[in-house]
Amino acid sequence: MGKGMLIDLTKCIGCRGCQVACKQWNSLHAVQTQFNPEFTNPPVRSAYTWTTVEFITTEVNGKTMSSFTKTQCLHCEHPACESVCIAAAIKKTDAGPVTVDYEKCIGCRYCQMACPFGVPKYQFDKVFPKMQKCTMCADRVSAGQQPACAATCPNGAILFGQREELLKLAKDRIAKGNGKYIDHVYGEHEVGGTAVLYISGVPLSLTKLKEDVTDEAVPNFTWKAMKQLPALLGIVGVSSLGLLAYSNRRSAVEAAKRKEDEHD
Amino acid sequence: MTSTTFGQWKATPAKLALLALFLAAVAISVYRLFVGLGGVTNLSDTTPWGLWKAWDVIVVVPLGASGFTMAFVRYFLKADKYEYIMRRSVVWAAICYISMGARLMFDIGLPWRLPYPLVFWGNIHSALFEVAWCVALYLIVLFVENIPRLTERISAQWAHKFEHAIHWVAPGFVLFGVLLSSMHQSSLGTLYMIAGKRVDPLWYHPWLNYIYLLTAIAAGLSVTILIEWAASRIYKTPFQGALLSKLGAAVGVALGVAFVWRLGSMAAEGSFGEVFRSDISAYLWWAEMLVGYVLPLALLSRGAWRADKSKLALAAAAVVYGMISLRMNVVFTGMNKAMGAAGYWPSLLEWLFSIGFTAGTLVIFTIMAEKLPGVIGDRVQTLVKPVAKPVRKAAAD
Repeated sequence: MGKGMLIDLTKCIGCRGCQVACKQWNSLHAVQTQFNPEFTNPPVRSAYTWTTVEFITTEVNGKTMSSFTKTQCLHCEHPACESVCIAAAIKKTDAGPVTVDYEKCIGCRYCQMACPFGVPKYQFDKVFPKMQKCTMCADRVSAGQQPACAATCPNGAILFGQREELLKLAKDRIAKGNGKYIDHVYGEHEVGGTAVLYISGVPLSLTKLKEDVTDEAVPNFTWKAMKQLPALLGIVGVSSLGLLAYSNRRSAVEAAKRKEDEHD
Repeated sequence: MTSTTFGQWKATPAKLALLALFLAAVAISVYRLFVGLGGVTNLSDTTPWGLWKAWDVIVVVPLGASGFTMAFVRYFLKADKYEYIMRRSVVWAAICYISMGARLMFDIGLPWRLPYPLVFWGNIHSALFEVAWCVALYLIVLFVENIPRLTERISAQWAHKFEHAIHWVAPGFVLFGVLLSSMHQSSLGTLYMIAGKRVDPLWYHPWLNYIYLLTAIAAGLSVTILIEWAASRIYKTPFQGALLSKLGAAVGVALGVAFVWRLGSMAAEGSFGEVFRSDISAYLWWAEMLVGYVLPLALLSRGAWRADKSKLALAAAAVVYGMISLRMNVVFTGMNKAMGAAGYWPSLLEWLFSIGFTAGTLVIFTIMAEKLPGVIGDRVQTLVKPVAKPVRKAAAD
């Protein structure tokens, strides 16, 4: 089984240490930011910001509350981006991370259309652009280390390990939490399962996790059509040849008839 | 019969204007190589597919569907009468596909990697990979189908023999082309199926691939009708109403099936209420349905109307509008919300690129039609003496 991460949103203090660690390890330059009503900064993920802590400040039952959602690639078990990649540049590795091979990517940007979470980001500002996304620090993972964000998190909100074990741990925390958590491990079933799991103390509507995602593995959406292609070819081919035989026969009959008429 | 040639391409002001636009588009594509996508387009992470992908690829391919549909009619229905109509349609298709390939090159991030998936293989689970292969192979088919246009002028014995050989293998290539087209025309719809129900309910369809195939067939035959209409006005070729009205009937069938299936699936999804939304998407949906489906289905429903040149041409234009509307709407209006797109509008250079390359496609077609032998046919033909009769290839049978 592959590796994964468990993000316990109740433990996140919104320090953005993970954002900094991510930029440092992956040599991503800083981007121009601006004041905005949310504290999320930079306000959106981009080719140069692979992870952000997204802030929600709102009022619940007359009390001001804040929630922090660390967002990045969820490293789906059955990634839509991998299934649509024309060049087979995107791969779900056995170790768990979903990675992009820059040498293969042609820049069609289909993965951006396909990803239900809007994860892949393109360097539109570059003449020789690359498709960028969180790699779960695949280079660190292959060296036996944990991803930079997990290593740096001061409050243990980001745990790294075997996905199966983290799932068990998540369920254990929910069970023993005395109502501290909502009863939902985000990523257990979403899009057929993701390597990055979340547990939350507030309803998902108060986090930045996408609620309206399918539980089906997304690659099935197109595969259901593509696996019918042989049948489509068979039907079109056989009916075309049948029509050709009919047309040949018809012109032969017509020719014979014309000959007969001439004799009469 | 010896082939008829018309001397040089006639440069009219309209054609020169198209040519100027084409050259502007070529200049933009060269500029794009130096500044990258961001320097020319308004593309962003929330609108990764813009005008170039939507128009220059996903619309231009079904505009070239006239090729496989007419080749099918000509060879598999043994309808020799359609020979000249087919020739024009197949030449048009070839230009569309070549043009599409050229434009796509500038839309992808690293243009020189366009052939990578063909050369270094790719991912068979990707609908885009399948489209790439089918289009590449179909270009070969289009080339073979057009060889007689190139060799007809050569009077040497080998050219004559070569043409006979091509004529003998043509049905095989035509069938190959029909199979490839069924695949890639439908797979252009499959592309969006990965988005599932993230597509706006107005355009969501569980089998969008077959809707794309049906509308490509309808639009392909409609393009043929429009080519004939335009050729009859510009080149004074006879408008063969009797033959074209039959194509019109076929358009009606394909379009009718797509129409009923689309509405039926919306009923099954329970998303009919969405059509009463008062937003731009809903208005575009109504425009697509009324102009692209209801109007042509009504015009094509009666034999007398199909036989009427202007009504048939109007219906064909409406079908092409419906095809374009579906494809543009699915990628923009249909995906905007899901992508969180913040109001994409193509940049001036994006518009000029798309308009210019489309103008180029038209002007190159006029060059091919006027310079290649046996595309327009004999200029002095009248309805009394139809174009299709004295085909040299018929003698080869």
